[in-house]
Amino acid sequence: MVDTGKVTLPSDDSYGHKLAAMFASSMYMHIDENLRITSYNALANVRLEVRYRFIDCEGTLIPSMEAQAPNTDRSAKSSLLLTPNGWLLGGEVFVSGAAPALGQTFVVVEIVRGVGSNAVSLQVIGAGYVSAKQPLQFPSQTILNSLDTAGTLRSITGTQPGAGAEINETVPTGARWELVAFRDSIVTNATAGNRTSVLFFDDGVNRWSSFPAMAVIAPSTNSAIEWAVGSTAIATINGQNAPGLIPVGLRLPAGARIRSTTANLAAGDQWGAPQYLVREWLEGS
Amino acid sequence: MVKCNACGGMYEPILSDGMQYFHRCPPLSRVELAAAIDAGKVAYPAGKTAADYQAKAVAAGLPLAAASLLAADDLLLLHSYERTNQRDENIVSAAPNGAATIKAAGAGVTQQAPAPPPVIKVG
Repeated sequence: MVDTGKVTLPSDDSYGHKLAAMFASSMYMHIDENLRITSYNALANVRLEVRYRFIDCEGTLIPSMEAQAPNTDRSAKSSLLLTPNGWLLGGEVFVSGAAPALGQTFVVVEIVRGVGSNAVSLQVIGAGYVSAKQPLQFPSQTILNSLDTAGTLRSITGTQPGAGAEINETVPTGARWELVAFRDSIVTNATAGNRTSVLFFDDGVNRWSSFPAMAVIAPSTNSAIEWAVGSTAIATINGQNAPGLIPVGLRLPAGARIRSTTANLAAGDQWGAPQYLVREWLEGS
Repeated sequence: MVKCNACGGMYEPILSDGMQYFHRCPPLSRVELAAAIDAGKVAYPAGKTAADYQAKAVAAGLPLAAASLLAADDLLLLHSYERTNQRDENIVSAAPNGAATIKAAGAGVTQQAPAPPPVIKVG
């Protein structure tokens, strides 16, 4: 006798329901229940592949493949995967089409009841960051929070302010940052008076802490200023560097700003585009 | 590379790591605020006049034109001054699959020539 791997059961629906009741499992899904994949992503060209196996009440094994193109601005993108009456055996979500670092694409897998935007969430069966090399399996006993991980390191080139304007960098909607290092250069004109720069942080309106550079900047100079976690407050090097300190583990929520204020800043002074290193987590929006 | 028409800031909308950059105009600097005072768009601090700050400038050995800068320094201790046409490209939180919109288009942007590459190979 050839084992086809298929168990033939009566097609009577009531029998299928009785069978489902007999083999009670959290992965049993009623015909009205479906899978929902919700992604939060920050990288362009990411494509999520969802693959899973299902066995219906007829005993038929149903492998499925679905795909989703997540948004690239950290906002939520949801896809509903319609499933039959039966048992979800398991599946995985992974990335193709781009190579996000772990920390740039977060996925939540849920069982929902209903379809469309009114589908009601019943059970989270998987959540975590995914990449091309590290898929998310479901169902999973480990449901990760997007803030649970080490985050991803990003080196960012910010806005070069207009002449006589100050630095202003904003934590994007849906992100949480930890500032690790920050560098910028400033070209001062001949206007008298040493410039003293302060790097400070606010919540989008109200300032909460300030960290001055350790050296003043003379007129008619081109100076680099660096702030870093664990930086040593050394004197200037050839008059060019003015290191400053920022605290360890400074977390900045979405909307918070990294700004400068410079005493004696002149109309012709010109900041360059800042370069800074942050650790980023997705909070989603 | 684009240039913000409100603040004059220059930036790349897509960064080298493939991620979007969300520009927000800075509040007015002391220089910009002083210009706004000179233009009559911002008042001197309560109880103070231009003459008060001119006297302060002379006492500090500064030109009279520095009066508005000194006033701006005092005002910035009390308030933050934003541009009425400021641009804020950060998105407004929306329901899943909702259309994302930026917080403020402001005065828009002007396309610029690409920035020179940070690394130049020789030989």
